[in-house]
Amino acid sequence: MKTKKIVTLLAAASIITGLTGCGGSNDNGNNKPANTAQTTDSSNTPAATTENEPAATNQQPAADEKKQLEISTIQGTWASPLPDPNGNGAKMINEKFNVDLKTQFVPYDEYANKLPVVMAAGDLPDVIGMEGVDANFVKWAKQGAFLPLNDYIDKYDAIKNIPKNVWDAVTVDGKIYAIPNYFPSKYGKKPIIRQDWLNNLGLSMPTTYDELKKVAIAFTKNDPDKNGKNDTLGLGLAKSIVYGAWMGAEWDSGWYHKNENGQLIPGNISEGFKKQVTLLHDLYQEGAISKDWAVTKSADARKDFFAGKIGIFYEQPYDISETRFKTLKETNPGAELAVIPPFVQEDGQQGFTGLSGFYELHSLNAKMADDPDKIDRILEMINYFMTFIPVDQRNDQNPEYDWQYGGVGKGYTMENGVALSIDGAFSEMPTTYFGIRYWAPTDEDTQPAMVLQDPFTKGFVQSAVDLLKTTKTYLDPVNRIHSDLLYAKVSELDQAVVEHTTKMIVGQEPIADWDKMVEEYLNAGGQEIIDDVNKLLDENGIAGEWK
Amino acid sequence: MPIKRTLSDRITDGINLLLLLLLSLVMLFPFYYITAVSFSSYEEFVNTELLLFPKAWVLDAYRFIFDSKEFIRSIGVTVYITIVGALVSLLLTSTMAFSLTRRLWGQRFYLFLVLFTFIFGAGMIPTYLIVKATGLINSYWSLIIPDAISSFNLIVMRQFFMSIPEELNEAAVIDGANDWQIYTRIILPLSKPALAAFGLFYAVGQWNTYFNAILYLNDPAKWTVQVILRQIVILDDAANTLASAARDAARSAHLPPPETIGMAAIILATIPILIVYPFLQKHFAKGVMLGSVKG
Repeated sequence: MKTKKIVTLLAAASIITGLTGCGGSNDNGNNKPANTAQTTDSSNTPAATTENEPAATNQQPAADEKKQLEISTIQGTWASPLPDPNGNGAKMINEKFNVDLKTQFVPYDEYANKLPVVMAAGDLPDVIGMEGVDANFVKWAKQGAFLPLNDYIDKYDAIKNIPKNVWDAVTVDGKIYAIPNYFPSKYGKKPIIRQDWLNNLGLSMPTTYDELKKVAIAFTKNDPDKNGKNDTLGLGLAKSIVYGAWMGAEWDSGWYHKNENGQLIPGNISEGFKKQVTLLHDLYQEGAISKDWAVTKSADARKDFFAGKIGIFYEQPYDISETRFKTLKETNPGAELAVIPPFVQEDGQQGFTGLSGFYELHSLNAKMADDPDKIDRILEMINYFMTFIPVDQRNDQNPEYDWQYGGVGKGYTMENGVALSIDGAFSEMPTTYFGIRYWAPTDEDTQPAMVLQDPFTKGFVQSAVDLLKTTKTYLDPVNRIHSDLLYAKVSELDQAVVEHTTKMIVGQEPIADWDKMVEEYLNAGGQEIIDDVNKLLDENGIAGEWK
Repeated sequence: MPIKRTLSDRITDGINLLLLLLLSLVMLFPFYYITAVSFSSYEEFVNTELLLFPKAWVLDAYRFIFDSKEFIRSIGVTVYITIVGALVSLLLTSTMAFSLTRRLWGQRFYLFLVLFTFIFGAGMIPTYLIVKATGLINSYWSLIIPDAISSFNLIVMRQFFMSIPEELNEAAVIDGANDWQIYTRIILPLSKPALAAFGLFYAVGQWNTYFNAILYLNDPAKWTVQVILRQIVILDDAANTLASAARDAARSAHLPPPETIGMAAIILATIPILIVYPFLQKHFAKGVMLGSVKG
């Protein structure tokens, strides 16, 4: 009888946990849309750059000449906790610019679900933040929800210096509908390798896919960490082939290759990508990639890399978390990291694909068209926060920086001459409330190593920056056009490619079927996308370029 | 137990016992794992393949959560909307269910309206427009009122009320009771199991409020614990596209806190509603049979 009771209890307990568990993931609102775009906000990280005329460019409004304006904003954020709408930083903005700022922040996870509802309900704030250019942005721009900014931007020093290729991305039918936010195009994810493992095994840095294969296999089989255990893997890979094994633009998923008709085609159906898939297939056969990679989350693959179990993975030298690097160094004191330089391509080029050069954007509500004062005030504020402050001047001695970051001791502290944001003090910093980054004159000006404290992380970032300084970057032209067809269909097609290539890597489908897969892609609408994209590129005179 | 148990009975029982035990363990394991991780140090978590029993039990993760005001505040918000929401829902559902058992003019029409919403939802934007037009945006009532009556629960509860013998009703009428008195003195006392069960359904629903909070509440200070939890245990999963590369990079500036804290947050967000179950269990067991047999 007693056992029966225990079993009943156990069963009851498990049913309960099961119930609450399910309930949790399954929010009770009837309309929960499928989880869509996830997004980011990076606005608050002190970025870094150069160029020295911040004071000259700030147009500090003479408050008494202007009447107070109420300005409302809505934007997504990754920040947690969220900034307090009535925080000190907001009050400082109100005072400085003589406005009454009403901000609304939404976590990016759900922003893509909430914004369309707010748009449809018609109570759109004055300033609308978005994570990037997507089908919705283009649609709303075409429907006239946003204010065309072409006539205004020349008046503002920082804004007008935004490069043409970035303006293209926010231009629809010749009209600029948003102010993009800076993000260095050079400092996206890059392949990184355990230099100390190379040294331990007497190997040199790979420069071709054959060498890379040998290195990855040696990392798996030859005990590169010298701990006497067979517990290492060559390359970290997660489901959907994240991040893969691209070592330059030729093998990446960007639009780089041309087909026999001279049309630009997406990377994932190119010969270069096939080479990458072939390598991953070989590595999988040799056990140099986790057997479970096809169901592994990228966060778990990264965790393994920073636990010192994986030799090659991807990491960016910009905006990084020191915690992970510190953990690696603590558990593996000998660890040294290096970026793998891009391989020389068949066409003689050598370099990584760059990012689009911006991340997040701010549009203005079209209803403001009759209110030039308000437009001016908003753009003035955006311009102010965008005006670059060189990294070496980001300290308590610089009045602008000090103000933007809420004052020393409140928003940031000074350590070894470097300003460090205080954890959770977002609400103290005026810069939080617009989410604008400094627009750096060049990517190098961001000096990402300068703001880091941990010597290991700092060393890695500096070496990566030094390497990338002399490396070319390919600018994907597709970032600069808006193809409705591409927005509508490409993710479905890409998904099919991911499924096929995943099967090829694990050996369930022969790589010889590559051409069949490409044909399937083209027939399912891929060719139409390619036609449309190429037509738009030709019309706008845009082509891929190396920078 | 006078019935003699044969050997095969015992074997079947044994196998059942074993299978049930295994099933229970399978279901309890994730819960146990989360608990174990929440009490371990981050270093140990990172360096252990599968952490089942922390070498050192530490409270760092819990300390971190209790130090951040927002988690505690969001629990408060959630407890509030759970209690108020469940009560409001019970009141509205039971009164409406009761009135739909009376012989009223247009009863079938009203029932049809209920059934209609059961099959067709209004969609997110129209619902938002109504919530906005009624001035509920940014008020806790926006989480309570739009979901106050679940058509399914309403219909089952009506069915339950109808299973109460008509004779009781007639007797009450003869004694001079009006509808309100019948409702409060006869129907409600006889329906405690039903009320407990539906109260629980509504409470769990409110406890899990997530997207509605983001949609209707503009002030982050009013958000519920599930929203905060989501931010803490955010799934940070990258995709291999260039667009996501910038996001990934930008996002790492706002890293979610270490997993141990996420696990502790999950425990704290689950335990309170879990505790309610044992107290309602006896009613609950009766409640699941509701409406299955017509009186």
